[in-house]
Amino acid sequence: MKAPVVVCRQVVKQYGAQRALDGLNLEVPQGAIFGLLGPNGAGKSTAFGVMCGWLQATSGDTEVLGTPSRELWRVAGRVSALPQDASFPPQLAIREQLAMYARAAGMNATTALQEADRTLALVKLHDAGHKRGSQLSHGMHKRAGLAQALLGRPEVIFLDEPTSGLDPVTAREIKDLIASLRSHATVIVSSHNLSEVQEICSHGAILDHGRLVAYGTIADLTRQGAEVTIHVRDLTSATIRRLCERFGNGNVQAEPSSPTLRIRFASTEDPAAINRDALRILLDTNTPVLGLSAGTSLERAFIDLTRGASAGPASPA
Amino acid sequence: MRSGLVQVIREEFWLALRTRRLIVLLVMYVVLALLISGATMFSLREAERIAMQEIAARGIPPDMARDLLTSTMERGIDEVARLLSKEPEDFHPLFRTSLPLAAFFFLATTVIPFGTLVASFDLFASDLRARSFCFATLRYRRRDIVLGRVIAHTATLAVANSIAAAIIVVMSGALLTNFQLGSALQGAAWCSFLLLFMCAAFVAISAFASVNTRRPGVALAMGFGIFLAMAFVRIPGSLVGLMGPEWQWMAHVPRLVPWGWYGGLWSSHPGETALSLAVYGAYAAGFVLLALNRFSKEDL
Repeated sequence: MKAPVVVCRQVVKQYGAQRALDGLNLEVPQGAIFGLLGPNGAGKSTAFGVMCGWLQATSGDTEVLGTPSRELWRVAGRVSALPQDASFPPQLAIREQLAMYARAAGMNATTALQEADRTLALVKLHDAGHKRGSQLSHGMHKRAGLAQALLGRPEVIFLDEPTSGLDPVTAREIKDLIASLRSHATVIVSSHNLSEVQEICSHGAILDHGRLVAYGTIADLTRQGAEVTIHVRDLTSATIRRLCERFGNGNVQAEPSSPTLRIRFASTEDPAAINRDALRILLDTNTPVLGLSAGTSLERAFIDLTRGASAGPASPA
Repeated sequence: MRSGLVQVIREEFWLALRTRRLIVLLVMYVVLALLISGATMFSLREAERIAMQEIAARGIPPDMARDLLTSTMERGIDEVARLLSKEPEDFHPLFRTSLPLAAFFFLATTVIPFGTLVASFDLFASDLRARSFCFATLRYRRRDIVLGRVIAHTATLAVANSIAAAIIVVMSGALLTNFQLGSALQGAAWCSFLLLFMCAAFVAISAFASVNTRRPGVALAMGFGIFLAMAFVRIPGSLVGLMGPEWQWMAHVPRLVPWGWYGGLWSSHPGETALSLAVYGAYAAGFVLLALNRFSKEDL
């Protein structure tokens, strides 16, 4: 098994009386596209800042590629990051600044400029390299920051809200770009956009109140091998009762007339058999089926984990 | 891989030259230095001309006339030394040979503290506010960033001093009859060397003010406050003469601040000059260490 590239051990970050991180333990496996999730105030940005060495933990250890986070300069060029809301200094053109950071990672002047051009082209800013930081729009700033994070071939890339503030087309391109990094880098993405994380990430962690409340592959988090979500119309109490008889009261989440129902099952059971039985009951009761998907949405899992399930187990009327 | 510190110095030196405010300030400083020194030179030239006319009118031979002119100039420099609270024999010989350089040095030591503050007050504050240090700290050690920036700004100011001193030497050669190139060049080098320590001390103080806030305006006010506080520390020393013997210890209070060691820079006694430079160096090191300590703990 490959060693994790990012390790947090019992990390505490205290701001006065407020504890933003409360003994966080986390490992990011090599080669993963790792989503860091959490509601506002969960400690997500703090965890991100501690991992990148921007924030000093009150206690605990954080390592990236075996190097303490506060000393990431030791692995310059191997670790990069896109901070949220960080701007480029206004004195220099973006291309020159990128070249400066590339030189800091050990490239010579010529290669650094070529690398700046390459990454600017990757984020579709090839014609804006001459602009200074103060002349960039929010979206351009975000893309320039991403270009900065892609300089060279970093092994670990931290991206904080990489698509926020971008138009849908650009956001799509950035997501594709991030997905393409999987072949040679471990990417840690902090995002509020759960559908984005579900789409591009292989692993994830959910934080709440400074603690880790869920961790694993996205498939695990969305219970893809242990839950099925069925989109229906005109769901009746009688149908729900039959489903509960077959799968057990505690395993069916549905309410009359609700557009979706969820069935949980043990991971040892055959999902195909579960789907078949559920569909058979729905067809028998003339319930129109609009769609079926394995697992639940990350959004649903996120809400369940951070606020408790809002819709309790089904209870036939 | 190249040393991080050397690389930061190189990049920051380059960046400092791209900062328009700094360049405008440096150009203004050099121009001001040249104007003051130029005015001194023209006054000297006029004095030389009038003196030569007087000497010629008295029928004194040219060789004797030149000696007479030189001794007259030296008496003038003695008066300048007394103005700076120094006995003429304590006045460094290199300043004695070039009054324009002495005028430049006087101007530079007066202007540098506040010029440095205006040039370097946002050495850190702007980047802290913009969080652009997030990009840099992944690539450079925080210690290298602080040291590199202070060294680069000090070097920029030192280059400006050297340029101004060199131009003064050239102008002196072109305009003054009583001019010795060798001692003028030595004087320019000596001025630049002394000012390097002074620049380092005041850049370090500006850096300390700048690393303590994310608002450049506050950094400027804080630096100004530190300088003013230092200036006020000199006051008790000047009041000692008006007070009783039990207050004589106050004469040493100005020694707590860099300005209290200013006289040593003009001195002909190597020990006195070395002590002044050591104090300026210690101030530079002390404030850099304070800035370093603050920045190394700063959450970005």
